[in-house]
This record gives sequence, structure tokens and C-alpha cells, in this order.
Amino acid sequence: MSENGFEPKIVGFLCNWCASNAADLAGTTRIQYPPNIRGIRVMCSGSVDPAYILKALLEGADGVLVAGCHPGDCHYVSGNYKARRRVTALRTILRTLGLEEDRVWMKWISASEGKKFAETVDEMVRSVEALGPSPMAKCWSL
Amino acid sequence: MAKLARLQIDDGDVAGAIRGFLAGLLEGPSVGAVMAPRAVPSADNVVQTLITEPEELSGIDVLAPVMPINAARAVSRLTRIAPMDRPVAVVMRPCEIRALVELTKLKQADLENLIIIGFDCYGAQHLRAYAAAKRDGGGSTEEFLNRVSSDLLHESLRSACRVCERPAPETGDLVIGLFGADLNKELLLIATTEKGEALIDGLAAPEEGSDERRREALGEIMAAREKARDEMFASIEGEATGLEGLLAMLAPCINCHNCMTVCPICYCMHCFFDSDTFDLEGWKYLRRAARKGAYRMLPDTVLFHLGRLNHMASSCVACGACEDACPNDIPLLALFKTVGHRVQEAFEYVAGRDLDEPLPLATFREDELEPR
Ligand code: SF4
Ligand code: SF4
Ligand code: FES
Repeated sequence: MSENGFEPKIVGFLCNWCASNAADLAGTTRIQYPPNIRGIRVMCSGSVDPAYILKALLEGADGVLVAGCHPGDCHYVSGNYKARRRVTALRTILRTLGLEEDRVWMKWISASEGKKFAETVDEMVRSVEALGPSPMAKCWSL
Repeated sequence: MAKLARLQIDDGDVAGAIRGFLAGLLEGPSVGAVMAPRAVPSADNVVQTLITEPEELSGIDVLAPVMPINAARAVSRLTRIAPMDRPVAVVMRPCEIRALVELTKLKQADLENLIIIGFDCYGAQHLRAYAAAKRDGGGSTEEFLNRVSSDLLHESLRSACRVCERPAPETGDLVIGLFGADLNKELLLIATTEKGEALIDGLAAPEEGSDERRREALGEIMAAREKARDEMFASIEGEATGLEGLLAMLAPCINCHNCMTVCPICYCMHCFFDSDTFDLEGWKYLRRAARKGAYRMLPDTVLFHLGRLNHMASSCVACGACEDACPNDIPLLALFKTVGHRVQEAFEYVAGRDLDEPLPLATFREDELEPR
């Protein structure tokens, strides 16, 4: 928790084959990480339409993490590369409109990287804490 | 070196000269039909029209300064189910050709048997302004060309045209060259492909040459427009907008989705934003209202616009059709062109520039972008 009591809400779109296993691994090996992330398991990072990232941000998330398999490891060959382009497009849109693109993260986290998962969540929570509560998350008139 | 021909203009009748050229095409063996803008019977609008007989060319006014729809939509309708079975010449503005290139990549149009004739575009007026001028007995194409060729940012132009830095066709088979031409005398026909050359071979004295004077004039127009464009970018970008700015801009939006309907690039048969994907049971809306303190009904105006940007900013050709169609004058062109430019820049892509450049979101490189 940050000093002013702000608890960021982070939505994580976690690939079934890598990052969501990494999240489990972090849990079973008792690696501590902040409880701020709500994970949603998806079949591939390439299956996340940015409309869902936007919807999460508009409905109350302070940040969104998309985590997929490392380059070369995607079970659908190139879903992760395409996801990277989509997230880049989305972040560019947000930046152009002054809408805090750093609330959207993309990371590669393999099934064996429980520690990297925990560190990523930790790093993201700190970064979003520094940004403060998302104005979109609070706004009713979207 | 391109192959050029000069088309003589008699009595300042530019439209007539182009009609004469099209009549020659229809009479010859290489073109079976023409699609071009034709004045409707009440004369206060033009619509894309298919014509197979030279006698029917009356009323064709290729340069009429109005763009009721982006013609790429008409070409898509013509060719999506099956390609043309005979050569058809379509006459289009540069932004319409760019949209057609994007639609072709999206497999919504087929260029087989199409001959694309583009023209140097000084811009167009809003349909309402065009219709009003026509009803008052004015609004001739020649008068418009006179006015805007000496004032490139004239206030009668649509906002999309005032900031259009790509006013000359970049692909296609033949260009009707207006820039740098003395429209009381002649205009240039510039063949850019073999198909295009075949169209002017029959004309008097085609020549090998360069369109240097036209290029110079084009350079000046592009410079003026780029300046206006950059001012527009600055009005949208970064801190200039932010959530508050965006909400203020979208405040009069009534979710009619006209902007999406007329957009040549938005082609999905069933739009995500017209679907019930985000429709909820009433108690869930109440829960959201409780969470935020209040909840807009209907929801998702910002989601619609950001979502549409996300789906097609990489292919937006900045034609301005969305803005023309908005009943509440939301500056959609500024929004979409600015964001489109930045997204396309991120992928070193320009929508509609080149048929061989893959769509940014349908391709990737292994060694690019973050994360690595
Ligand atoms: S978003 Fe607007 S300017 Fe861009 S292609 Fe669609 S209608 Fe044209
Ligand atoms: S046309 Fe205008 S009012 Fe209608 S949905 Fe688009 S922006 Fe909103
Ligand atoms: S399967 Fe994990 S990112 Fe595609």
C-alpha cells in the first residue's frame, strides 16, 4: 500500500501456457507478491483484443498487464508477437491522447518463472502507485 | 519517365474535357465501363455511378467538390463477392484510392480488371455546403477550383482537406494532373502503369516526359498542408487532450455510430460495438453505479471511440468521412488523423501508400518493439 492508502487494482491477462503457470508457481513456492493483481487466464496473449484492456481501464482498473510466452515459445507460433504490436498500438493511442500509456504493460513470463512473475507484479504495483489512482477508473461519465 | 498526354480544355469547361476523355475510353476496346461521380437529377449532390455507354456520361462531374461517401466503399461493393469480369475504369480521389488499397489488403475489394484513375485533389466541401451553393445557383466546379487553387486552406474546404498532405494519387494507373496546370488551357494525363499507358495511347501526341511543374506545385501544396496538419496535431496531442479534453470533445456524442457506418475502413459485418458483448444484467449496472458513485447510461461512449481507434487507426486514410457524418460536429478527423498518424508512424506504415506493405496488425518482426 502506498503512503496515502491507495491500493492499485491491476488486471492481468495471463497466458494459459506460461504466465498463469508462473503465477501458480509463485504461489506454490511461496514467493511473496502484492495481492493487487486479478488474473484472467487466456489461451494466448494473442487472444487479448485491446477492447478488453480498454474496458478494464474504463471500469476501474488502475493498470493492465498482458503476459505471454517468450519469443519463439508461443503455443500458437506468433500470437505473442501480434499481441506486442496490438499493445504497442494501444499504448501509442493512449500516449497521443494524454491518457497515461504506462498503465498498460506487456511482459514475457515463462511457466518456470514464478520469481519473474512475482517481481513483475511488484514492479508494476509500485509504478502504478507512483502514477496514482487512474482518473478513468473513477470517472462515471465515460 | 512517365508517359504523358495533354487534355485540352475549351471555354474553361474542365468537367467537359474529362467527360470527353472518358467517352473516348468507353468507345475504345480497353474499357467496358466507367465509375465516376455524377450529378443527381436535383443537381445538389453527386454520387458514384456506373456507366457503360458514352451517351450516358452527361452529368459526370469528376472534380465536383463534394464527397458524399468514400468511393472505396462503392468499389468494395462492386468487387467483393467476385472480381470484375471486364475492365472497369474507376475515377477516385487520392484518399479514396488509399482506402481502396487498405480494403484490398483487408480482402474487402479485388483490384482485378480495375483501372484506377486518380486525380490531383484540391479538396471538397461538406455536402451541406455544396448542396446549399447549388440550390442558390452557384457552386460550380470551376469556380471552386479557382478559389481553392489560390487559397489552399480556404475555409470552405472540409477540415480533412485543409490538413491533407497527400493530395496527389500515389498508386493507380493514371493520374489526372491538375496541380501546376493552367485550367483554362489544358490538364495533364500521367500514366503510371502499362494499363494507364494504354488509356492515353489513343490520344493525340502522348509524350515521354516529366511532370516537373506539377511536382513543384504539389510540393508547395504539401508544405502548406503539413503546416496546418501539425497545428492540428498539437491541438490533440498529449496534455492538450487528456481524459478531460477527450470527454469534452466527445460530450455531444449520441452513440449513433454514423462515423463507423461511413468509414471506408470499418468493414466488419457485425461490429463488436453493436454486439451485446458488454450488455449486462441490470443488477450489474447497479453494482457499477455503486462502485463509481454514478454510471452513465448508455455506457461505453469512450470505449467505442478508443476501440474504433484501436481497430483501425493503423489503416485510417484521413478521408474525413466520419466527421462529415457526425450529426453533432465532433472533430473526428482531428482525432483519427492525429492518432492514426502516430500509430502508423510507430510501425513505419502509411495507410494506402503501397499495396505490398502488409497491414501493421497482421504482421510482425521478431526483433522489434518492447518487450524483447
Ligand atoms: S476514421 Fe474517418 S478519416 Fe479515418 S478512414 Fe475512417 S472515415 Fe476516413
Ligand atoms: S457520428 Fe458523432 S454522434 Fe454519432 S457515434 Fe460517431 S461521434 Fe458519436
Ligand atoms: S501461447 Fe502463450 S503467448 Fe501465445
